Parts: sequence; C-alpha cells; structure tokens
Amino acid sequence: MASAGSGDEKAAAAAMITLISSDNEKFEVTEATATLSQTIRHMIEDGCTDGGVPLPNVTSKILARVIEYCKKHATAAAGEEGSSSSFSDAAFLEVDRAFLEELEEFDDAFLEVDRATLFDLILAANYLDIKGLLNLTCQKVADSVKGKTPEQIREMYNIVNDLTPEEEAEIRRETQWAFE
Amino acid sequence: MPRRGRTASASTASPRPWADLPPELLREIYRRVGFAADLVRLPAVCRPWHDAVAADRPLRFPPWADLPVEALRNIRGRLAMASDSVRFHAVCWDWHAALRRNPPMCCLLPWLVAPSSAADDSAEEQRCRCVFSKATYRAPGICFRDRRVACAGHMLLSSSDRCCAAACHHGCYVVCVDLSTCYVLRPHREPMDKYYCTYSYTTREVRAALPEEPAGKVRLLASFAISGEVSGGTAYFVIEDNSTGGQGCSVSLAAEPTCSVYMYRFRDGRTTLVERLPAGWHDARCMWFLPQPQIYICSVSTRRGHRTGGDLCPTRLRQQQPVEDLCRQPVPEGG
Repeated sequence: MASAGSGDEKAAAAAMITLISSDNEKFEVTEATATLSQTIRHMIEDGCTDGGVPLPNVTSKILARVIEYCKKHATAAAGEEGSSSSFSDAAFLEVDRAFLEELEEFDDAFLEVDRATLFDLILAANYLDIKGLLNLTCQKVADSVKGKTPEQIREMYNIVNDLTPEEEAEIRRETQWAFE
Repeated sequence: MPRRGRTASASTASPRPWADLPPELLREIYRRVGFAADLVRLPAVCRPWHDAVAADRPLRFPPWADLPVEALRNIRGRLAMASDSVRFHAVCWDWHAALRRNPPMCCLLPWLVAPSSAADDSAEEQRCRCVFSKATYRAPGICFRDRRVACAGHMLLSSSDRCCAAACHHGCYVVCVDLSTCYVLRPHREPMDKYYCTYSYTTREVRAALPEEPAGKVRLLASFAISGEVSGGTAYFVIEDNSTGGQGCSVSLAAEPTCSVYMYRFRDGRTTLVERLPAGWHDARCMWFLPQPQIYICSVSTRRGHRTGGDLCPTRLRQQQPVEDLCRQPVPEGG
C-alpha cells in the first residue's frame, strides 16, 4: 500500500465505484457519477468504498433511476468544468444553452413517475445527499400543492389529518388570511 | 428487533400467535393505523405481516407524512405564495412540526401594506392587501405607518423616509429605504451564497426600466417590490393612475388619486396591470411587506457605512449596475 506503485492502481480502481442496493443488486458507476452524491463522496474521501458501497435504504429500482440522473448530470458538470476555463464566447454560450435545454428536457422526462416512485426518489436523494435531485423532486411536489387547501393536499398524498381540532384552530388563527 | 422479545415471551403459549393473524384481519388493522410512522413499522414486524400488508400498500403508501425535514423545507421554500406556504404546513402534524421552527426563507410574494386612511392612524385601520388574490385583510400589529416601521414577526425595518419597500430577489431581501438607497439584506440562517451580495441597483434604475405606457409617467413615489419567482425577476409597482405626463412634480393631494399595481418583468420588459386598487388605496408610497420574512433586526442608520451587529449586515448600495444585471444570475464580484 505504501509503495509508490500503488498510485496508479489506486487511480484505476477509484475510477469505478460499486453501489449495492438494499436488495443486493450491484451497480458499477464512474466516480464522477457517484460523487454527485455527497454521502458517497465522503465515503470515497474516507477510503471506505472497497468492496462496494452498500446502500441499505435504496432499492435497486430506485437506485437505477438515481444513477440514471447522476450519469446525465455528471456529464453536464464535466462539460461545464472543461469548457468554462478555456473560453466563453458566443459560440460556447450557444452550445451551453442547447445542452442546458437538453438537460431540462431530461429532468422533465425523469419526473414522469408515479407518486410512490417520487416519494422514494425524494428519500433516496435526501439519504444520498444529491442536491440537484432533491431540488428537482421537491419542486414537483411543490408544484402539485400550489393553490391547494390542506384537505386537498391530504387527499392527494393520502395523508391522515392527525392535527387535533385545537391545533388546527391554532394554525388557522395565526394565519387566517391563508385560508380565506 | 421487536420480534425477538415477542417470540421469547410468547413461546410459553402458542408459538407466534400474532404473526399468524389472518391476512384479512391484518389488512383491516393496517387500514386503521393513523400514524404514518406506524404504517412503515407495522409491515416491518415480521414476514407474515409484511406479506399481508404488502397487498394493501396503495391504500396509504408511501407515507408522505414522514417526508424528511430537509425535503419538507425544500418543498416549502419553493412555494412562492405565502398562502400556499401556510396551507402546506397545516396538512398534518409531522409537516407542521417540521416547518414550524423555520419560517420560510424567501420567495414569498409581497403584500401591500396600505397607509392608513384614518385620521388617527390607529392600529385597527392598518390593512394589507394581497394583490394576487385581490383580498384585503386587516392586519393589526403588522404595520405602523406613523412610526415608519414595517414589522411582521421577525422583521423590523425603520427609516427616516416612509417610502419603504421590502422585496425578495434570488434569496435576498431588497429593502428600499428611500428613492436612491437600497439595502440588500441576506437571510439570517442560510450561509450566504457569494453571488447574492453583489446585486446592486437603486430604485431610480428600476424606475427607469419601466416603460412609459402604464401611467404616462412614473412618479418618484412609486413603491416597488421584487420577486425572484419568475426567472429574471419581477417587480411590482404601485403607480398613481392620474399622474399626467407634464406635471410630474405637482402632487395634488386635494383630488384623491387612485393607484394601480403593475408587474414588470425584467427579462422582456413587459408590464402588466395586476389590479387597480380599490378606493382608499390612494397612496403610491404604500409599503410592501412579506409575511413572516426572515429579516432580522437591522438598524438602518443614516450614517454612511454603518453596519449593524449580528449576522445581518445591510449593504449600502450606490448606482453601480444597470437593471439588466438583475436578469443574469450570478453577477461576478467587483463588476
């Protein structure tokens, strides 16, 4: 380990990371893809990714989606880093815009999921600490609750109103204007 | 884990009697479970329970009430309308508890606080109007015009001039103290993104960006608010309707003027009428405020370069950047 020769090996090994879902499925991803997750990034920095990274909170179905997202956005990040240092003229901006549009389209398509999957994606994004994905999925929820009353939101998300009448009255008293 | 204890104590009687409950009964129990956390825990008790309930999951699954606090706050931060934000945390106890401690950071659309038309400026007469829902509310204790203070919850702003506008833009609060001075305040809690502090503009420049059409001439007295909701930013202006082009400086107080609220989009320069304010809302200098904004106590001093203590430092801004810069998101430092 301490020898000089291990440097290359390490670099080669570090290029790919194995992620293991809760149902024991293995996913090989590049380090650039994996490090979109702050949680995994810290694991890599701590050098505890040998033999794969177990993710007991993420099922293979969800992990596959998350990796799909990370792959797309990792290439986006790489593209930005690579080009912004060299030049920033109009041609580049044009390319950049096209790419951002493509990324937006990808995000839109990515969010075409049922509510249960959306929920799992939020949990996974939160657990893996992937800012972009958390923002994306939370935006979807936020869009869906806009203009809705608490009752409508409960119905939509199958939530039981466990507020006592007193608590509800309290909330309403504080912010009556929002309910009128 | 619960399984180990249960089986040990129950082993004297029949083995695992509870685990062998008929699936129909288990499903019936599951349907009656009120708390989202229990909905997750119940199927985790043992395999038969899990299997019995799995078929019934669509009923109350996934447990949205158990969303992590970070996610809930993230969602709430994306609700631009204050009313949405409030309703959101009235959905269930878990959400309420998660959101209660941290009032929204930003992005609430501004409200209008009318200068009182009552002679005595009594607190009862303070009204605020949500120009988006076209509703007026009595707001005792929110705004005291005669003290030149707009306050709501944590917010306390004062100035020597009553022309005061509070607005938010890309996570920052813009407080217009007088017509040539804006303060950009950053929220107290979140670590500041380095871009935000470099926004600088004055009301004069914002005013200049308004096209001629809405009221012929924009009075100096127009108050404004900016929202970061629409990309590129949006400013809301209150403009006196009957200001005629030629007599900009003669403010006749005898004839009661009427005012309208206009929305101006920085991106394409389009102005749209939001609403014509009803009678009584005749003062274009009325204040804007944001319900429960995270603006912390800030002593606005007339002395140049004065800074307050704590985490919040008002930044005195001069006419440095054209208003177009508002459209580009990160403005490089020292520009």
